[in-house]
Amino acid sequence: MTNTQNNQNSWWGNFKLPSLQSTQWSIGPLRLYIFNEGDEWRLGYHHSDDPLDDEMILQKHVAVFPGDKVKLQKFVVSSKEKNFQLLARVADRPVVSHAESAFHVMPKSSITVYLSTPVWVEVKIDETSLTHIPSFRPSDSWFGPNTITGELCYTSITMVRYKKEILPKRCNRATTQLTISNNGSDPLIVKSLKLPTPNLSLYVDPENQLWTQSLSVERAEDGTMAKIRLEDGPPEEEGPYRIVSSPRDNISRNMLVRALDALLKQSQEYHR
Amino acid sequence: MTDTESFFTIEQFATLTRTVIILFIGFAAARLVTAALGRYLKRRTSAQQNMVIRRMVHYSILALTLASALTEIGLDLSVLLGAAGVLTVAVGFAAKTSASNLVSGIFLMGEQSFGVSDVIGVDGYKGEVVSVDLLSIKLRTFDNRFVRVPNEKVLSSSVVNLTRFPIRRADLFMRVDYHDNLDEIQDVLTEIARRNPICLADPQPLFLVKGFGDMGVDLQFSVWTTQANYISARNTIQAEITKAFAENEIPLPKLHRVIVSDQSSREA
Repeated sequence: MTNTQNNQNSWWGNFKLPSLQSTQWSIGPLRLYIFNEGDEWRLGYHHSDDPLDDEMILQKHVAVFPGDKVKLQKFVVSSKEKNFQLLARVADRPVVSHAESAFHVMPKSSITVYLSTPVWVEVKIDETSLTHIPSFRPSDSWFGPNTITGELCYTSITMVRYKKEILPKRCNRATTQLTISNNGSDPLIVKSLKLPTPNLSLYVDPENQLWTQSLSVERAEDGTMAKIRLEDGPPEEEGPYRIVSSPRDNISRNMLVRALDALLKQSQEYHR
Repeated sequence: MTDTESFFTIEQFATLTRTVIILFIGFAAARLVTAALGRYLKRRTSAQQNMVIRRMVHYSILALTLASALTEIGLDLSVLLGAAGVLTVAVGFAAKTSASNLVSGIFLMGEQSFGVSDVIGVDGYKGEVVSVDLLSIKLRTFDNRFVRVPNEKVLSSSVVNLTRFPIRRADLFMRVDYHDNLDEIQDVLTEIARRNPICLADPQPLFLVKGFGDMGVDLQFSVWTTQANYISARNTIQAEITKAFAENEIPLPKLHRVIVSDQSSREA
């Protein structure tokens, strides 16, 4: 089994797997098993109990494919080649990160926070996408003003951080820098943040850590409108970067949203 | 004049021809217009609204065609309308229920309280809506029975739409012993919900002390989940609660009765 990716320390890239051989990957909490049966490829996976597991094991030979202990998927691929690709992808839904306690962004002030989201592993055989597997299955969550209107999201197990130095770096998580500017006349109280993850690209820095492009959100002077802007890439001081994967859903870089709640949740009270 | 000409004049033949042409054009126009209307409305209305609007337009065009044809052959429509008025009263009394169902169906269509594929509860039945028709709605119950509910009954009763909103709350009721630590129980239940990925983190699970029963304290623990995961969430959470209660040595109160024997009654 060989890794044809330039960076030997990354778990994504192009790999070869001869027929009738199995291999195991550990990507954070994810344990991924791949078995090449010739025209049929078997994928099995499970997650360890520790959501903050940071183990990374590449291409470990497995004598017996653990069929009964994993979630099993089979794919019939009529291909003579033995190449498969693992690709890091952003989450397939927005991810909500919570602040340990609500913070106030005072008028005419801004704050930069850092959010961490789990990445998905896309498995391809000769450029044919087989499946997307989360490196960690986050809990479902609902983000909206009430239980009727809103969007299904994931919730992040890590809190919003104010300094990137204290943000743990894990092989299965991507960091996003978010700048919040309050141009209004009253404080902006922020309790949780919804990251539009499917609209973000993935990058890798020289230390092999995953990033998405930075975001900035501005609260207008009248306090009713918010402008979200996707930057060209991650923070420049962490570069240079290489792009790893493109967004799941492409949108225009400058987008206006009708309500501030699209990204920020200031207060929430659900009727019982 | 020949026998054929005395029976059938050229003018009558022309009238008959025009009548047939009117009917032919009318029927063709009805089909073309309804087909075009159906395509136009396909993405703008529901399947039921589409069907009802197409049928109304179709029959309206046919009625106009018939009226034109009758006028062409020289029939006085006012006589016909007069007879229709009398007939309507008779039919109205005879088909009162059907007419009521028809009108109710139109109101239901406008309200859009539910649609095809929604799961609703009505008239004591619960099931998936298979179709919403002019006179009735059809349900498929979960044990695969076919239920026809007249529109009049649907409109006049309460309808519960279980799948209208994307998320739903699963309410679990349990009873714990009076000696149990409620704070510990709440922590155990909250951790179970936190570890289950199909339980929504937001809205947060709800822990309620419902009251004090004969055998123990009545509790409610509610978790939110998506419509698709509702059954799975109920099953997995309850299984995990049973397991967690056993691991944390939280006993569930058992039914017991105390029989008091009075000495005097024994001697008697």
